[in-house]
Amino acid sequence: MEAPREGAVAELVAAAAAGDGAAWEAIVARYARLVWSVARALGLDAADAADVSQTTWLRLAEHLRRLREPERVGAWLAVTARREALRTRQRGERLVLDGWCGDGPDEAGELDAALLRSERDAHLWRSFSGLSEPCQALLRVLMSDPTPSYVEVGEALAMPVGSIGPRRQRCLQALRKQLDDAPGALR
Amino acid sequence: MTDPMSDDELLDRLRRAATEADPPPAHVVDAARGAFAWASAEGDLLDLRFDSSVDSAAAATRAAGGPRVLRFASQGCTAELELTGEGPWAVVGQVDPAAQGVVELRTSGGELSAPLDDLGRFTLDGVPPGPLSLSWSTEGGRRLRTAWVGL
Repeated sequence: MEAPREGAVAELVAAAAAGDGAAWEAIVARYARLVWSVARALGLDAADAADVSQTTWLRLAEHLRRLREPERVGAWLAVTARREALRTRQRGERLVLDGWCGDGPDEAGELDAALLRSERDAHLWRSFSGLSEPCQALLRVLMSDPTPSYVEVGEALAMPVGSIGPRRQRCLQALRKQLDDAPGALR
Repeated sequence: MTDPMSDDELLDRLRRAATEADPPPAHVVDAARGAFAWASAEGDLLDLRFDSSVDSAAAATRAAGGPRVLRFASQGCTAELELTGEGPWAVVGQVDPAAQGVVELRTSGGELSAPLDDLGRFTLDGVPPGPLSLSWSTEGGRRLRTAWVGL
């Protein structure tokens, strides 16, 4: 998907704030996967990620007319989702350690991998699930669709924008190593 | 084995796999669409200032099985909620300054309302889990609402 111009995003926000439901739909279509991936990147299970997503979008709805930088609505959503996800994690009661620690080599990764039609993709997903927590979190947000800006990634993970490129490279390198080490290497 | 894929290609493969293995469920996207219904909500917003479940004292409260306490405030107005149960919740609350009429509690499942007593107190049972927000009017007719908070 082509990333719209920043101005185009700001126009969508202005239109939605003025009551244009189609503009809201366009904003949701563009950022729903980013919000979801932020919650998942912070280790929430699907039920908690669903709650975080819902609260994040309700927050945007109530703030639409007051966003100071409407062209940065993606970054606003990312940081709001991050805060909500951290609150949920702190609350702790319903936190499921979704492949982040404990439970051996990642049952969640295995389950998700089972959904993938091609063995190649399943192998890729299993290898991804074997990465370190910080690398999984970074790649989880980076692989959101459409590709998020580094500003959005930085807000999602509280990470300086300048450090994202080098970390991305290191994490993808680690993923290649996982792919090569495991049977059924990616081709 | 040498992998010929570039970083961008590898990330694209991951993106396609994630789209298949872990997309946001349809009900999550539907809820995001539906949130627009609240974009036109009237009233001044009270921000969440305290949540016992994430505050440092939370562990003690939780260990004692005590209620979860939420406090919202803005410009001299506050609202405090105590929630007991695990969802559905039983809610006891108070708005200050005291107001008359009813308080409306908005949830993902719709709206509940309860009368306010002379001290601005109210009770609500059967509050479903998920995000909630309160809305009421002051004596002077000023409309107030709290930020959405996930339960």
